[in-house]
Amino acid sequence: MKKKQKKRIIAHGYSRGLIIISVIFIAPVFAENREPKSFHFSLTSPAEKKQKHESEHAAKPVRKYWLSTAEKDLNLEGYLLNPLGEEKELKIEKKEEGWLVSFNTPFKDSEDHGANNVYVVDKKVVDKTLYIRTAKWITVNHSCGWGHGHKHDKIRHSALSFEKIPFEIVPQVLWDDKFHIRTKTGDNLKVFVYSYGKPVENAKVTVVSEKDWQKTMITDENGGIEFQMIRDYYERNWERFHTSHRSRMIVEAEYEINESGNYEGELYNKIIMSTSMPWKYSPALEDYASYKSGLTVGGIFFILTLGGVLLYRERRRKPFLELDFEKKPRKNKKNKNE
Amino acid sequence: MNKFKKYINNVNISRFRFWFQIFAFIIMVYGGFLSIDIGENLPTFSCPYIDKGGGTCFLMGLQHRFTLPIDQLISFRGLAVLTSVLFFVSWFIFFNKAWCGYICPLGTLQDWFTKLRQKIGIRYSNYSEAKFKKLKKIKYILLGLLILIPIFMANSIPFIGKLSHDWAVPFCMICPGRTVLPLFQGDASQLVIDYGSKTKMIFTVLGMAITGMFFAGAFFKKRFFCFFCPMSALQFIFKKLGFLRLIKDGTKCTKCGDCYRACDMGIREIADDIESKDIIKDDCMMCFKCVAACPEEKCLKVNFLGKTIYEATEEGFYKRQKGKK
Ligand code: SF4
Ligand code: SF4
Repeated sequence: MKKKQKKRIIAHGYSRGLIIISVIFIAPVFAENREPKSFHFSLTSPAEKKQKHESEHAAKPVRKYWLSTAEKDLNLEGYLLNPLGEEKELKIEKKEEGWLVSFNTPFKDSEDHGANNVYVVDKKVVDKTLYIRTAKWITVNHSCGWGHGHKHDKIRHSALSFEKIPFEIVPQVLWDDKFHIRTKTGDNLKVFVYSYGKPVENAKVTVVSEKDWQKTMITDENGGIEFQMIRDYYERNWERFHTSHRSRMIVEAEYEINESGNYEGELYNKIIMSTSMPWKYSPALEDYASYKSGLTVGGIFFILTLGGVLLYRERRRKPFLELDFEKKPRKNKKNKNE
Repeated sequence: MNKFKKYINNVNISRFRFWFQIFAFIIMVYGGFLSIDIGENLPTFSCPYIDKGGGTCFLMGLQHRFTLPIDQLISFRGLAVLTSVLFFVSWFIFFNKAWCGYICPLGTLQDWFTKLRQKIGIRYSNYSEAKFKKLKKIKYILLGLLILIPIFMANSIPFIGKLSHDWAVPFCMICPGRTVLPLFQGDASQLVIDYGSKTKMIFTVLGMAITGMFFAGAFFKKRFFCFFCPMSALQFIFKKLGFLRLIKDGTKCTKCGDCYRACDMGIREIADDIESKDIIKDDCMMCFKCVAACPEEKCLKVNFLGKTIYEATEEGFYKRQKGKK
């Protein structure tokens, strides 16, 4: 065999080897990952980058929420639970930008006044696994103008679960009895995972902060986990720091069940349930307020007022005058300081 | 019936008021623990900063409701303001300014300071007539500001623009009710200086300065803060609607001045004015100490819907004097 021919054969062998290696290692990267990803609700459509936050003080006639996924082939069921635990109608629309759910909240103190739970559920079988994906949003419909007359209305203040929902996150109440949301960094938060209204043990819960810090925990026998919300909002410049700055956190949960069955004609031998609940948090009071300064200012003004009154009294004190009808009136030095 | 009337007229009103104020204080400050919620729009300082209070002061809602663009304020949303005023008035007309004298927890607290001072034996301070006249105007200025500032948060001021959200509830920010009353539930969170923004910082510094002055002032001057209270100013606007009235029969008055000396608010007209029948003045808190101090038969009276429920009598006067001794 000629030298040149030999070289060509070796080179050919190399390139074939390279092709095989690339097929083994690179192809999976381009292969379609059919496993459906969990989704969550947001105030902005998937196309919009900017994040918005809902205010419990800005009552509005229609509430709209987008699903974070760009998937087109969803088979969504929508649910809405009002603060009294009654099921209401939720509208689902497939828009150009994605999936939009909406419902009406007329501007008045009605049965909607309080925390409303919004849900969508999607089910599909992929590779013999039934994926049940749920997204939940809690919206606190309140206006101080309606008053705080439900202060002692226990049902309205509870964080409710819904027995029709396959998998959901139920937070320990995140609002006070006047429906003001006060989730701050440093707070110890507790959330529970429920399936059809019952607690789920050993579910995996992940909390993701605004800046993508994550913590994963496993639920106890009550379906609960507890975590301390970390601070991840820092401004070097005082002018730019906003006490009302809202950051978003997303609580996600996942649970696997080894169970076989048939969903709409498709067989599966495993169920993977996932759910999400976005929430918001603000800087803690300790980050921007000082007791030391407060008590110093209060103390200074207390002393100044006290001193002022005593000084005023002292200056108005008149010396004792002894009248002698024979002589001119004179000051009695002895009694001057009495 | 006559016996009962006699019994009432001979009553030691200060003692009755002392116990009534304790009862009202418990309801206003701890009512939430007993699931009591008297309601919103109360004409008294049932401060909403108390976590589990028994009601809500009207001034906070008023400041919130005025944070509206003018066009909305004069449209249907203005009705919400009007409705809340109606609720306020319907609460107010029952007790008139006795809300201040008998129910206001901040007023009660000041009365306790007075009791403490009396026990220690320190004499009280009083304003001169000229100072009194000047100081009493402050509450009307505060009332004006607590309505105007929220309006300017939602509407532009020429060359300045809208006021930021940090101006929210401006009166609450300087009211000692916010800083002091939550302390009774062990909540000291309002005693801070908020460095979140310049506006917040100024407001909280002002709030704490006034709190410091409140403690010292209320110790020497009876009802020190009430002279500056915009709630008192607001109530005075509606005083003519009140069912409860303080009535004077000038023909029976000898201008002895006993009522003036008994009055914690230092209202001179209670003795000097022999013309007016309805004698409530803007600083009056309807404590009725003047009625108890008056020695002239039927000269000062407390009427409810035109019916006399308590009046000055010679017998009552002597009984109370004897009791003092
Ligand atoms: S005028 Fe009479 S009722 Fe009014 S505050 Fe003075 S003492 Fe009390
Ligand atoms: S105490 Fe009675 S009589 Fe004396 S000044 Fe007052 S109202 Fe007149």
